[in-house]
Amino acid sequence: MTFNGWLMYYGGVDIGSAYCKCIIIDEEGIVAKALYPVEGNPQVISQKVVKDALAPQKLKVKHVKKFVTTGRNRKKFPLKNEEMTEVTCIAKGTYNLLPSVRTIIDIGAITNKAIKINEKGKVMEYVINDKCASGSGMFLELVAKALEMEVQDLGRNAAQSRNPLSITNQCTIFAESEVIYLVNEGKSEVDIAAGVCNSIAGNLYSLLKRVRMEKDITLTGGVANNGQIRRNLEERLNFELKTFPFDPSYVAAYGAALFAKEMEKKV
Amino acid sequence: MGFFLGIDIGSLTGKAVIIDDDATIKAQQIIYVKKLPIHTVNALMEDVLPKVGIEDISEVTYCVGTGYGRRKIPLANETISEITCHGTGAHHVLPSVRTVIDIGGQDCKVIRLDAKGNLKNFIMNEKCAAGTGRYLEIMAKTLNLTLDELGTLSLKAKAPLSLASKCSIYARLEVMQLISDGLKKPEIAAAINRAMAERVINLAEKVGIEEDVAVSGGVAKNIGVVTNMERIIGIKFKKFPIDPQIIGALGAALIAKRAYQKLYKEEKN
Repeated sequence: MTFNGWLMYYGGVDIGSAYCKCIIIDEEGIVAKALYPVEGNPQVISQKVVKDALAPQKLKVKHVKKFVTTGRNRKKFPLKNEEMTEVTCIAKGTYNLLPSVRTIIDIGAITNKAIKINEKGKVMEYVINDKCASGSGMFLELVAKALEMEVQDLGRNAAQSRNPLSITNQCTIFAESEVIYLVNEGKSEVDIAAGVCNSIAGNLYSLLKRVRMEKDITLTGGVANNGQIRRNLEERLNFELKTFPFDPSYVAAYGAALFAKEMEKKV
Repeated sequence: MGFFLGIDIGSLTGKAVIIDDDATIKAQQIIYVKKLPIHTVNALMEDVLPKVGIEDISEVTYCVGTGYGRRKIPLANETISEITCHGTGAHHVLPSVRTVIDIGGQDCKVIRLDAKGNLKNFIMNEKCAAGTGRYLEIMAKTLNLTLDELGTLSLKAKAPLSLASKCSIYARLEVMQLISDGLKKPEIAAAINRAMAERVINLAEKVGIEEDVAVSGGVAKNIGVVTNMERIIGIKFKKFPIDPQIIGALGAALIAKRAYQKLYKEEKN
């Protein structure tokens, strides 16, 4: 399908509380993607992330036939768009790439979700922990800061630990204080990091039990990039998690882009 | 002449009180905690010991440690739980008090006492930062206010506003949203203090509230939170005649005095 000599493009934008993610697809698959931290106005950031995703492909906003937005701040998108919930978009993106998955754990910046889908990709049940930020991405970010590590390096550093410490606090704020205290006591940063990863894995495991998990299982959201948390969770589960062919931060945005394409086809 | 020392090492501040044989307060100090509890203890001693004219810790008659960091006070003869110390300190300065609400930097305790000052029941939240001093600290920082300003400014609020979130992390995002929506600081500060008061009263209702009620700990100095708590349960609180932040340390000093006198009596017999 072409439009004034250009191919047809569809955009998915996931405007979360901490990061804004954009994926552009065409008929074949992913064409471009970009991710920005949401610092300041989500309206400005979401427009910037779309332009930055398009620019390397020499594309402009006008070439995108339709946008679908999702995420906590999905109503803040300044361009014409449709909205979908995160749960629907995560399920859509996962089913498209990993059709054998029945249970998804999404680790967001401040909320963790467990989503169960059937063999047709339909959402059957979900649990959102939206009362407490325990075990979320924010937890990892605050701890990384206290350990003076980049959040992306925390998992790799933790993997080197031979003597993981245990983190006793569930509350993000108190766990941050606990980590600072352990650093002040002279405990190894690597061992603290390992304790933190294990604590988050324990949190995810409880969430999986709450939703009565079914195989296969996968993780989405930025924290899913942390190899140590994945390994800790796999140890608890005694089987391997399914992995995405790209950065799992983008799964909801990818699902939104797929919806954009479908909506346009129906018209 | 004896010097009885009570040290209360909290998560946010360290407190020390020295009393004499008549249980009169001779020295008191509150400081922010240092990196390690031992540093906090040393800094406190450098301040309070000269106030009573002694140079070395060995001249202190008896010392009791309490608080979150109580196990890291090497000079303490004994360590006693915060609950007991707060109850003892509160009963001593305000004998009519039956419910002590202590809001610390990283916890919140509600202590029920009988007419003799004995512990009847208590409840403690140390699992969740909401409803503790940390919550207010985070919110004040988000609003770019000091803790004192958070209390006083809230009294100027015109329209009531409430926060939907309990979790400190969520409430922080909610407050940031309110700021960007153009709401004024007094209104936001009032909403924060109200949310804080609701959390504390929820906890207190689990053990029951009996009059007189008094509030100890650093948050007792936040007029916004205290007034909201009074409004929710519909009673006026009693005010401690001393700094409400040193109640635990005073209790520790009183216990030190009793413990020493008991030891002394045993020796004489």
